[in-house]
Amino acid sequence: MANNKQDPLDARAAAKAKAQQQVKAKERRTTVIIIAAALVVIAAFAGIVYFIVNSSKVPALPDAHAPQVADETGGIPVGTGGVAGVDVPTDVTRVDLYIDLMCPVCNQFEQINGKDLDSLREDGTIALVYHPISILDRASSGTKYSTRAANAVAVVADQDPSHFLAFITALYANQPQENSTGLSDDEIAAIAIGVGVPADVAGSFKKGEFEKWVIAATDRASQDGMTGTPTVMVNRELLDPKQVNYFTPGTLKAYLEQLSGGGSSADPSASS
Amino acid sequence: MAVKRSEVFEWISTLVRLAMAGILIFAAIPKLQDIQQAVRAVRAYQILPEFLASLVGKTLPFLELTLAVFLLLGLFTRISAIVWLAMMAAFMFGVAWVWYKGYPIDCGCFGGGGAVDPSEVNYPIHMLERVGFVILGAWLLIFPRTKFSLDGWMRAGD
Repeated sequence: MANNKQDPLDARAAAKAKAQQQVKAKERRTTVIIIAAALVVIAAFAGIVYFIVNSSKVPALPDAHAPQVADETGGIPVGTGGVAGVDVPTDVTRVDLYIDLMCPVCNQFEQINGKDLDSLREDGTIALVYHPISILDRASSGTKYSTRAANAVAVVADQDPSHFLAFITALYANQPQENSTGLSDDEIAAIAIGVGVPADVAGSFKKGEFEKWVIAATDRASQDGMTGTPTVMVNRELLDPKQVNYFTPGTLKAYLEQLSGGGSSADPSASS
Repeated sequence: MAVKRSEVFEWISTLVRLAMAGILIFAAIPKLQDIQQAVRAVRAYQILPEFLASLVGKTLPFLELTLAVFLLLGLFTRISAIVWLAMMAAFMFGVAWVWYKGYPIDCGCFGGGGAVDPSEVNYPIHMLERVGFVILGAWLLIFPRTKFSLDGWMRAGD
């Protein structure tokens, strides 16, 4: 490249400056590439480490320390006498109920269908399995109410199964608003004591004994097709509320009775 | 004093670049705060097999943050724009897929995700959002020169 000033000294100086500039450009380019490569490697490493650590923190459901009455799907069956894990009929229609205790729609479901499900359970028409899961922790301002409540319910199933249902009912009756701080551990314990749970059992809620089980059961529920709460399964198949609208009183009851041949087999003269 | 068009474009591109970085950070943080929810959101699409759903759910925020850092630094801006557009294409495919399949789910793009009441589903708005993001990425792809960037520092050596 010719300069306007054709002095050979200037031309050599210009060439030298240009060469230096090219070296500098190359150095800068190399620096930038190294920065970029380092960023990518650090990010990939962080991502992989995070994945491994996180996957080990959340046990697979079969490995999690579960309430003794829990089944392999992460649910707590309730028998004809209303006691968790006792006198659960087999060979009948199985109803799985996936609920988050902070979820207002679950509360509505309970108000609409609670008594119907109780009577179908008591006369042995259905086997009712509760899945207290946690998908709404982000709605309790960092206090993880959903997980703590589900854990408390699991503890009661494990230690005081005769009060399992009453405790759930009471938690619904005292359900905190979404995006509040939920109920404190002491408040949850007080509610439990209020339905007859022994004080030492209620006092153990804050230990979080079954929190990992709740998380594992929630993940299992998600793998089984739960995408929100409440989710209802009948005979382990998702029940579509567009097909059977269980927010209309009586619809779910009629559907289950019809499925079960119209009432318990102990009374063959009953018709649906 | 006349302002050169290329100068104006550089300023616009800088804003676009920083906005994209902000959007990525805004998308990544809620996922990291409730990573189980992020995994559930990916699973709800029912596109990926289980292992991939878990892997994608947990590593997507890292991809988003890495890209955000590249954009913040103005490092390989044009390539960053391409990566952004590839991500948008993938997400748009995902939204179109669930729209077509009729799954009532929330996209989970900014945390959350999973099923919603069918009356709340808003695929058209989500698609519009995606289109907006594509426009940002396309602008940066076409006009990648920005102020305050490592790219600029590298170029200044030439």
